[in-house]
Order: sequence, then C-alpha cells, then structure tokens
Amino acid sequence: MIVDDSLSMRKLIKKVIELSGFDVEEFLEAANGREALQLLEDHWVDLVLCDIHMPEMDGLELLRQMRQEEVLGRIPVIMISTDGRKEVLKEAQELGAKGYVKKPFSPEKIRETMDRVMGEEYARGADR
Amino acid sequence: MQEALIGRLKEVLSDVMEKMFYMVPDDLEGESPSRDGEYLAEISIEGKRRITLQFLLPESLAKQMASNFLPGREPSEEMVQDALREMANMVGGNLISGMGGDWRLGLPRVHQGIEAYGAVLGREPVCEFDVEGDPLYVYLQVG
Repeated sequence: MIVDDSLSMRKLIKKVIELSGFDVEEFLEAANGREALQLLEDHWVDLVLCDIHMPEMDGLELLRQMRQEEVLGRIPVIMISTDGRKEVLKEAQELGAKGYVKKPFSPEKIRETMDRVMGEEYARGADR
Repeated sequence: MQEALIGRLKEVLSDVMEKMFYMVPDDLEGESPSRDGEYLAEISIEGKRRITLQFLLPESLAKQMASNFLPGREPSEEMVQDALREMANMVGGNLISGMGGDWRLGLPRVHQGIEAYGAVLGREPVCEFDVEGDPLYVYLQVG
C-alpha cells in the first residue's frame, strides 16, 4: 500500500516498484492516514510505504494507530518523507517503522530499502 | 539568518530539481526576463518565526517538470499542480531538516494566473534560476 497525499508521488513510487521487479499482485493507494486505515479494515497488505506529512491524518499518527491493533501492527511500514530531522526519524522508529527513505529519492534507495525490509520479514516468517 | 537560509535554499532546490525532476537549475545571468509567471507554488514553515517560500514559474517549465516527474503521457492540469506542490513540499521539508529546532511544515499550495503573479507583486525574488531556458524565481518572506 502506498500512502501519500500526492497522486503523482503515488504513481511514481508504484512505477519504481514495478520497474524494480517486485512481484506485486495489487497496489492499494490512500491519500492520507485515515483513508489508509479504512482500506486496511478490509484488506491485508504485505507492506505500507507511507509519507509523513499529509492532511487529515499524518504518517506518524497512522503508524501509531496501526501499532495499537494486533493484526495491523504486524505489517511492516517504510516511511518516505521530506522530513529528515533526527527527532522525527526517532519517533517513527519508536513507533515501529522498519525503514526510511528521504525525498528526493533515487529509485535504487526505494529498491534497497524494500529489499532489506521484505528480507527481514521473510526471515522472521521463516523463524516462526 | 536570511543569508544562510538563502544559501541552503539554493542547495536544496538544486538537489530536488535534479533528483526528482531531472533538471539542472543555473543561476540566471544577465537581465531577468519578465517576471510574469503562470504558476506560483508556496509553502510555509512555522516555528520561532514564520517563513514562506514561493516559487514563480512559467507554464512551460511547470509542464516540463510534471512530465519529467512522471514520464509517459501529457500531464494533466492536476498533475502539473501536484508536481509543483510536491516540489514545494520537498524543498520546505529538506530545508527544515537542516535548520534544527521545532519547525512545522505547512501544506503546499499552488496559485495560477493572475493570482500567481499578484502574490509576489512588488517584491524582489531572493534567487533567480535558469532552468533549461525557463526562469524560476524564488521569493522568501520571514515574519
């Protein structure tokens, strides 16, 4: 799932993921945290790529609310944001974000971060 | 403060334009062309003070940016405005990342036509760029 208030950014991230060779069955898109939570009520996703700075409900609040739910709390989240301040990154990490990509980004950075996070999830699944 | 801010602003804008829009902004040399712009993207940063960044640019540059941001088809008006909001958002966000302290980024907005030009009427830009033949003017207000 891609959560970003910019339609162009959502399309760009989707394109980068497709060109990186990830086998994605379906992309879900949301324009803010509230829309994302609504979609997550009815859909299971393997990964959430989420902007921080959004209207209505920002990415950190989405992360906070996901972590309060047992099932949603297990979905790995990668934050993609312009805000690279240490305190913001620390908060995202404390809330359980598994990765961070700073905008402007290179396609390689998205691919590397997804590779790492999905690899860790796969390994965790294999251990269980 | 303002001089350091302008220096950082130039660096951040160049980085965003190169990495996300595949365009290299050069300092505008010689006499500035007319400052009429079709689009104005703006974003505010609030903290100890209120800083407003505004970017005035012609339609040709706005369309080229949108086209480079998401290649593949003629960008719609929505995509053009979206790309400009994203540019303002990335410049503002990266600017506060290096500022330290408690700053909050506002939501980016885009004005078009007479509203765009009117928003900066009578003010001088703090930087002027030549982006592949089109001008890009940056205005700064520190309250």
